[in-house]
Amino acid sequence: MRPKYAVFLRLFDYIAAMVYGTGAALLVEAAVNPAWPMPLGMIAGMILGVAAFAILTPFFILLIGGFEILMTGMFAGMVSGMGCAMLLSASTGSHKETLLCGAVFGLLVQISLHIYDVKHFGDVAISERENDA
Amino acid sequence: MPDTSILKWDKAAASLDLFSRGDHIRYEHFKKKLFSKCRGKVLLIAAGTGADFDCFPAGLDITAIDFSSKMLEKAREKVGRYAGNIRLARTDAEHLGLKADVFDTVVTSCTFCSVPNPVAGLKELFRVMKPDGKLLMFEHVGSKNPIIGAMMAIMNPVAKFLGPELTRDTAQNVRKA
Repeated sequence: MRPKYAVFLRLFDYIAAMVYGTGAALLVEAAVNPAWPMPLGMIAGMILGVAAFAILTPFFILLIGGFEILMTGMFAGMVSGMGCAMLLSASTGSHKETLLCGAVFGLLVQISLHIYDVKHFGDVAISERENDA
Repeated sequence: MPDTSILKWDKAAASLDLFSRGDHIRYEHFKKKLFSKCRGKVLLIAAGTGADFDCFPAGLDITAIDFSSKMLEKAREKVGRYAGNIRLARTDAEHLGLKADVFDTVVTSCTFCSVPNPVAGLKELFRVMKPDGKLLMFEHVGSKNPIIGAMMAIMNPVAKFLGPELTRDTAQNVRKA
């Protein structure tokens, strides 16, 4: 059974994922030219998302630990970077909308990982003797 | 054990408590639940800075080893806070230098992501553990999901440079040992 404060840690995970997404969106807005072909913009956005992950992760490790945040940050950064670059190429949003999209991408990544994580919970008995005990 | 590995963890000792504080808060409950299964003479592999001492139930007789003298300096500060007996020893997991069939329980906590030869280390653990002893492991391992596993493989070189590996298949290593 998880401790009661686990819900607050999980809340921080969601906030962190949205910050990763927003960070990736900021870097994409700063560095990706909307005139670039969309595939090129998306690759650049993915790389910038990884850069956002690298910048933000030490801060989040200090706050909420590294084990959970590494996958979230990497995926949220990459997906948000690619998605926001795609939106930029399509010229479909304002600055605020791009940042919001980054946050939403991060949120969706965290939701997906949270659902995947739910089934990975509990002791893993490797030895047959452990199962008998 | 390679000197580069020792140097890496000597350097990490100064900041490990700070950077692992978040993980300690997150996983302390689960470690306490796992470590409550300890009985008899206990061996803790890779004690690090002793951050896990407070996860052990009171009253145990624990031998805590680490190959980093800097880590053990930090751990020594925490020994007095434990309501039991903790002996610190500087040795490495692959060559413990301890007698066989001594320990009732062997505990590892985020250890076998870092031991250079994990199967050799695990064989050594089984050597010093009694035949009816128990091995309790709290470890992070590589993901079997292909997408997450690929991400871990990409991040692994950086993680390995700074600290632990992310892609170890520790369950398989235990079976091999």
